Amino acid sequence: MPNWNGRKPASRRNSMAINGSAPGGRLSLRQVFAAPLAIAIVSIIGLVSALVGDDIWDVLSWLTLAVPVAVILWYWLRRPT
Amino acid sequence: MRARTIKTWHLVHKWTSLVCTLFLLMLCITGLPIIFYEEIDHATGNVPDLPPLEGNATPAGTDAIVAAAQRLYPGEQVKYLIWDDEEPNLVYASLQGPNSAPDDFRTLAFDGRTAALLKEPNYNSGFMYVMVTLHIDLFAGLPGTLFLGFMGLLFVVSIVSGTVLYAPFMRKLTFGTVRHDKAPRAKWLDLHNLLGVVTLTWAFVVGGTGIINALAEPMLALWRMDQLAEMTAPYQGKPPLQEPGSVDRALETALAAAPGMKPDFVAFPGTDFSTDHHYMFAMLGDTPLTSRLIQPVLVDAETGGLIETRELPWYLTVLLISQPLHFGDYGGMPLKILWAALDVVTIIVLGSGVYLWLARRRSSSIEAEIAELERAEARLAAQ
Repeated sequence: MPNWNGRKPASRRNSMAINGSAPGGRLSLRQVFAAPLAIAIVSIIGLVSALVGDDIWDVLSWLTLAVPVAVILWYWLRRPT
Repeated sequence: MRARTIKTWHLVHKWTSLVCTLFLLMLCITGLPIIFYEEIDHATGNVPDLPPLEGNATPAGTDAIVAAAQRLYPGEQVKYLIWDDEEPNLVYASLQGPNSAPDDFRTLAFDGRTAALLKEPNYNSGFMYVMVTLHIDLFAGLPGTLFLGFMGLLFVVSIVSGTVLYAPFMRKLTFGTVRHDKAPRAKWLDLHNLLGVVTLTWAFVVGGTGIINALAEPMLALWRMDQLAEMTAPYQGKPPLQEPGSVDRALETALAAAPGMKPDFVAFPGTDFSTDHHYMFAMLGDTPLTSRLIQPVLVDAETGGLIETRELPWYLTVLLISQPLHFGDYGGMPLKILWAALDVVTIIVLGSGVYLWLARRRSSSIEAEIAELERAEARLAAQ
């Protein structure tokens, strides 16, 4: 029966190709949240930095808050070769 | 996570999102130009330039400005004087007539050195007025503001529930997977998840500070009833002043009471920030943090004497810090541009959420995935 991601459940073995399937099927919770957590921490630093100071603190905000935007552009625009 | 837990979180996410999305889209779209309010204000000529001045004359002073404003509009009264953030010699006077609506002010821009009128900027009509008013209260006053604050609360719950749902549904995909080659629904689900999880911190902060800002009026009312009433208790029951006394003299008192600080604005007797007998000077410090936190100084409007100055209560401090974190105007133009980019991403997250809900099909959807998880659990339990 069709399911939402168009693949048969659990029995597929794939290499970690750009279609993104994890080897053996399932990532751990830590693996799932590693990148999002890192980006969240970087974002908090960015939000607070320009609030507490000027000049270098502003620059730190620009660099850190650019990270989520850059991550999005990178993953959205890349295509499988 | 058990299938039933996922089902519950999914329902929470779906319903909080569906109810708030239209209003959040409005808030994000009106919010985009508001990020650049200052620049647009300058570009439309609403901010006057100070003419060059010959010689070193003594500044005209605030009493002269008030007098000039009253001469121009004798039927109205000055309620606030506001010093420009960047140009200390640019002073705005806010006037109101006896029959004006409470939020309806006339603004006059004065040269603080000469008390000459520079301009009467228009804040009460035009594109930015519409954008700001829609964003703040949908043209519905305090009920509109509180309603939008509630939508903000739903938005924040939606973000939290979406984050919880990210876990079980991203177990089989590495971070950043976007399935361009599959059906559009899969691709947009991946984009919704990716853009959502990457921007959730920013969206949570802007949404949360939006809720706090929506509570500004009630918080101010609380301050009036609590601290302001306490500080001015001896004046209860006195008849209101006919003519408030000299602002210059009161300003001197305020400057002496808050050394090293400069005035942001002064509220005249009979306004929301003051009582019928006092000037309330909002003083600002000069470090990045103290330049945002107001130190209120209460001065007797009749005698010019100091009543009291004390730090703001915690809830007003929270409100004042929530403002830059909501507006994104505290780190120069690069920060504003990033703020706008994240705003656009949020619009895409909201829009893709609507698309995913509209494009849901009965036989293949999140519900089917949950059903599959339930079957897998049953199999595990049977082993």
